[in-house]
Amino acid sequence: MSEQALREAYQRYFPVIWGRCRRLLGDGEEARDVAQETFLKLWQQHGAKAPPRSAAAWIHRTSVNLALDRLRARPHEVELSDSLEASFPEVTSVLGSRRALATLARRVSSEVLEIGVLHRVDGLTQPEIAAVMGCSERSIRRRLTELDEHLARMREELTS
Amino acid sequence: MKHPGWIELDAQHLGARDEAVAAHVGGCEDCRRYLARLAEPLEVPGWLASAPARPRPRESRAWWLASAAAVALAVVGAAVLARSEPEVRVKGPPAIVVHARRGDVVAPWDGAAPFAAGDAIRFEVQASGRSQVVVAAPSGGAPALSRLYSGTLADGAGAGLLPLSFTFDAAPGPQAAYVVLSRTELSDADLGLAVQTQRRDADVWVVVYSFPKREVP
Repeated sequence: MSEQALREAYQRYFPVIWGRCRRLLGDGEEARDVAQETFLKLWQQHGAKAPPRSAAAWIHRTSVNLALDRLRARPHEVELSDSLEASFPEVTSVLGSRRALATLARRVSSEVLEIGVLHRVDGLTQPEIAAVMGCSERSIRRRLTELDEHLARMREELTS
Repeated sequence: MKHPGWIELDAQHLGARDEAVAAHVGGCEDCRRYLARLAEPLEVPGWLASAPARPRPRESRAWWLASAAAVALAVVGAAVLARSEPEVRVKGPPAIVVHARRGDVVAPWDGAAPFAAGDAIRFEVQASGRSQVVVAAPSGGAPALSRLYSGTLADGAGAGLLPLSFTFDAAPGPQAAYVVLSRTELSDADLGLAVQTQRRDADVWVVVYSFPKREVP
């Protein structure tokens, strides 16, 4: 595959990836790193010919996972977008938002938090999340309930 | 007016032909503007030159060429592994070079010099036939490891400069990091076990780093 194919893939996919990362992480260095890493993964795994809908879903899943990995690893450095912080008001209104989200990211599984972000930040419905994740709606409901329970417990702890 | 979700709009930009979404976009200035922004041409960035090619690999262009032209590039082996491994079919044991960037200066790390906040490192890997590489750090939660980078080495022999650099923060104490090379992708559980046991065999090879940090008075 030629450099031309790589450039075309960049022109085609990177705006989508960059938009997604900015919605999660704002405009800073962290968003640029995650966007770059997401693009390189896409290129390595799918090249320039991923079907449009599955590519878009893949980009959303991969970028959120990479962003959450960073939040777990470096909670005090990672920049977050206002929309991500505002999507978890149960805990971020009580404690510094970044610290609260980092704590949450460490308490729940990657899958649960990923579903939470798809639901709360991206506004996807449960059937849409099920399609993106490749699992049943029932499974999505169960994990969103699990997330809500974690959030309720955290809020109790933070306010007590 | 209910807008299509981000994924629907992004898929539309990527070539999906959904009539309902197209009809909405036709009558919605916000969505049209979003799609128009996605279609704007981009300037190709320098880091794209180091992207591994598919499916036939090209040699990566070194990251430091752009950022530190004045730096001598005499890359000497540092933090290189030495254990023999008879099962490996390609060019002996794995080897990793840590390139350290301090300000504008890039040089192989000597294995001892401490890092300051803002310094960065980048790994160059010779994986000896293993195609997967993970860079991880302790997470302090569950799972115990956080994947800072996870990817496939494009070179069939498992060699290359990883595409990302890692920047040190101001937190005190040494920074632990693990580079895990493997033939197949590892689950979180397998990754954790490999690091815990510091596994080194034909399939998985773990390198443990403890990067010292300069004490701030």
